[in-house]
Amino acid sequence: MPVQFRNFLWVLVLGVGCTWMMPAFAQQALSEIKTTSTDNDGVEFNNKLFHAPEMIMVGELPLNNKARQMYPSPVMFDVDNDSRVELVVGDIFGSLNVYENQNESATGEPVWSKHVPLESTDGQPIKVSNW
Amino acid sequence: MSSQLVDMNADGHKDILVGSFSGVPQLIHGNKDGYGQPEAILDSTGETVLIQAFWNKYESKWDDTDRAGSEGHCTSVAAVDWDHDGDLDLLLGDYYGGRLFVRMNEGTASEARFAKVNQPVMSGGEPGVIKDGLAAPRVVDWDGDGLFDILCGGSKGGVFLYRNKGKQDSPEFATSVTLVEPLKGKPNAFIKQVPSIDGRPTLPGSSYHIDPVDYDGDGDLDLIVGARSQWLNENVKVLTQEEKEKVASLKEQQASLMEDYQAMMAAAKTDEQQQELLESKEQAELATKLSDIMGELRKLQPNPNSSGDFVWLLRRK
Repeated sequence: MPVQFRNFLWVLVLGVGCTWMMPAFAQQALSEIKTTSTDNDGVEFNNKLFHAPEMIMVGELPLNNKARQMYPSPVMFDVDNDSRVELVVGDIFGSLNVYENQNESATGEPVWSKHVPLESTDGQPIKVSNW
Repeated sequence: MSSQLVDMNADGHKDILVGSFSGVPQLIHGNKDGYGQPEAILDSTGETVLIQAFWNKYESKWDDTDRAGSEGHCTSVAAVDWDHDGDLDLLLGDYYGGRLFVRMNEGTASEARFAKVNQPVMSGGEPGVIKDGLAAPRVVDWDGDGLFDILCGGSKGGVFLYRNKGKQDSPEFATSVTLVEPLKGKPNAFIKQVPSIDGRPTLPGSSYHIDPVDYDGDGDLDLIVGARSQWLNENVKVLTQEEKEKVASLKEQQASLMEDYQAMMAAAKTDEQQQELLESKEQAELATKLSDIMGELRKLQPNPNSSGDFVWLLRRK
């Protein structure tokens, strides 16, 4: 088992120390586990260019609620060549999911469908550990 | 990120270019019927394009190169015609170091021959660095001057712009400008704890994977952002005195076992010795004991935080 994967697994399984031997990626996971602050750390969003972030939804639920992709990387493009833009989301574990835009009018914001995995021409889900 | 829909070999079919955890960008070839499976992108000598460290799938181990002086694990990628010569070059983003590199295509649009080495992307006369790490770069004409700019999402949040002040065939980037500040909060927390309402976070926390797009059709570029958030749970259980004492005792046992583990690992100097250790009975017993303790701790003291991954819209004002 490669050292970096091994360390990452230790972090996931144990959620404890041994940072002395971890790569930064595992340290990040550990930091997440160990950060148990009971306040919001003074975090706020204040920006001149953008409004406060809005969570993108599928129906009433957050878009990633069902797919549970980790470190999601979303992009919008016409992945199936139907002249309509889809939302394509990759993640670190290799899934590539497609959300169709159900808003058929030429105006307004997208209305996203449930996701389906992007498949190759042989009908298999395309797996690529996306970053 | 990285997924980008782009015709990498000028065959009239869009391909999907993807950065990767392993460090080697991947290409999913498009054809008239759809897509194939991902393939590693190779340079002109047949070696994988990468920054430095990479997962050697043939030998099942991490390998290093000395091509760039940067680690390169979790390498993001974007295709762009850097020098305006009609073929696509590769912009590579380095997660930990926050550096950007370009891998020039010395071939043609239909037959790429990527150079053997990376060139650092200069910003304000120096190699550009996103402090605290780079989640992924995107290429876009942000200011509408006809030249591509580079937008970067930060590992600890934030969005940064490298504005292109050069010419079409020779990009030149100004010092980066912060479009969205990384969230404040505990300085050494990799993932920032954000406020929540009704059990959902109200802000993206870290690892901003961005895509600039006119989401609402009003003529300007918004950002969609994939990110990880952590937030404080509501109604976190308050421990009784007895439970507190039990937790303290379990934590002592846990610390002691971790010391044993560290000593064991320190004694295993070589990869072979470590592998032997990982397969040993002692190690398995230790892992079981630790796992049991963690299980008891979780029952007694549920994590006061939740974390999860979401996709956000940052709508332009």
